[in-house]
Amino acid sequence: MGQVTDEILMAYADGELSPEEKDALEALLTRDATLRMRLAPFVVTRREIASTFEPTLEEPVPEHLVAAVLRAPVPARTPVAPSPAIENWIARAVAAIGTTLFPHGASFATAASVAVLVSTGAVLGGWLAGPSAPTEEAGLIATTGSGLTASGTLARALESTPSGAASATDARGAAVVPVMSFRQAGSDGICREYRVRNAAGEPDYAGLACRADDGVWRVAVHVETPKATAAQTQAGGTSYQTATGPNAPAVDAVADTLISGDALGRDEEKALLENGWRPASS
Amino acid sequence: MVDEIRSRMIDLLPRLRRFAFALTGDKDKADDLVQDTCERALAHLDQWKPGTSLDSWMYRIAQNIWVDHHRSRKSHGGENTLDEVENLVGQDGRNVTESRLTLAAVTEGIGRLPAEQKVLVAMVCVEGISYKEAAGILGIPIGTVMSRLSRARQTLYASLIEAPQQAAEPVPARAASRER
Repeated sequence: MGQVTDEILMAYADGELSPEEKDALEALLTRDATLRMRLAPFVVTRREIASTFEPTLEEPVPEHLVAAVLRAPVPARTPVAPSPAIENWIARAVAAIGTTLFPHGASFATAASVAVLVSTGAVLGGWLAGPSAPTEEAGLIATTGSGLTASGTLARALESTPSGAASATDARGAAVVPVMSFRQAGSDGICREYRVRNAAGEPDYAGLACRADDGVWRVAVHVETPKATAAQTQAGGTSYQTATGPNAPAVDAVADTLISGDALGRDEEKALLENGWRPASS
Repeated sequence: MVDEIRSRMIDLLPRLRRFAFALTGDKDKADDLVQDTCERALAHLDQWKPGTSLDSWMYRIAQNIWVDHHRSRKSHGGENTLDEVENLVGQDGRNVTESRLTLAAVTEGIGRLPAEQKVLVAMVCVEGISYKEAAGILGIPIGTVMSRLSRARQTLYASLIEAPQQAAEPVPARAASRER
């Protein structure tokens, strides 16, 4: 190694040298004090700058940034974006969902914020297959005159599976894990957040549905999530209210909008579940 | 899938905020920059090539927005990074902690660097991006990355060892300053 430049010393401090270059330079450094002093600025700046900004990573991300990512429009020509036909269909579905979820006159702004989340396609885009309005998705969701409703395994799990437990796997390989239950603000209605685990190769989903008086679970949001890892897939039996898979910020945002008070405790949920989601007495 | 991209962007937010804070030296400006970055990225999603690094693409957008903004601000009467740092230190009155001082010294030092050096410090020293990736993001040769970054680090080191009450390892610092 001839003339050792500042750039080489810096590359050493930054771990950018090849193993051979590193060995050669270290041999020089051990016997050359001037070289070690020239190295100091790079080692010190790397360490001080990195440690100065490290705590920023641990700060909670402001909600408005998450919302911006969820809501910002994408170009119409992007192949992955929903077509106008789908968006119109979503808008109709949202109108129905809005009246379903806010029958007691929750503020318009609240309803609108949910509608925005849904209409961007961030929420429904994951399972809309094409421009024709889907009537059924993998047997879990059906479109009815009043919007999107849970069907099949999803409907059964929402009706009878405790939070934190996994439903039986259906013929298509999907299992539903309700995550938590809560009372909807402005009514006595119950909403439940859930995850859908699919076989490898099929997407996983997260969503939230609220039970209407007729016993139908109306789906407020249903989004595709990153596949759960093997470890997370085992999590069906872990503690109550543990997030049993990847985060789903869109679903959490809707839950935050709808929730009244805290999530139901295990005993309270059990009593309601055994009584067909009706209050125990009265 | 747009859902998946949005979800990956949300995962990237903590790092983008850190990068933006290193560039701007101000938390609110950093969050504004991050929001602009995400909105521009989503609005131009058709320009992102699936299979390439979403991270690198987002960093590039962030630094482009910042450089544009930086230029227009400069032409309108310049920087006030020093004032901002003094405010930062002033918030805790006399009970400033050592980490505060270091934060102030480091952000002040970075704030004085020319924009093209600042970007490299934020990418390599703050975000841990490799020289090669930084060269790719900025569209400049790797040799230019190294010479700019090397100059930036020498300047920063000099400002750190001159900072009053700088507590971090004064011994090698003084030795090196005598050397110059």
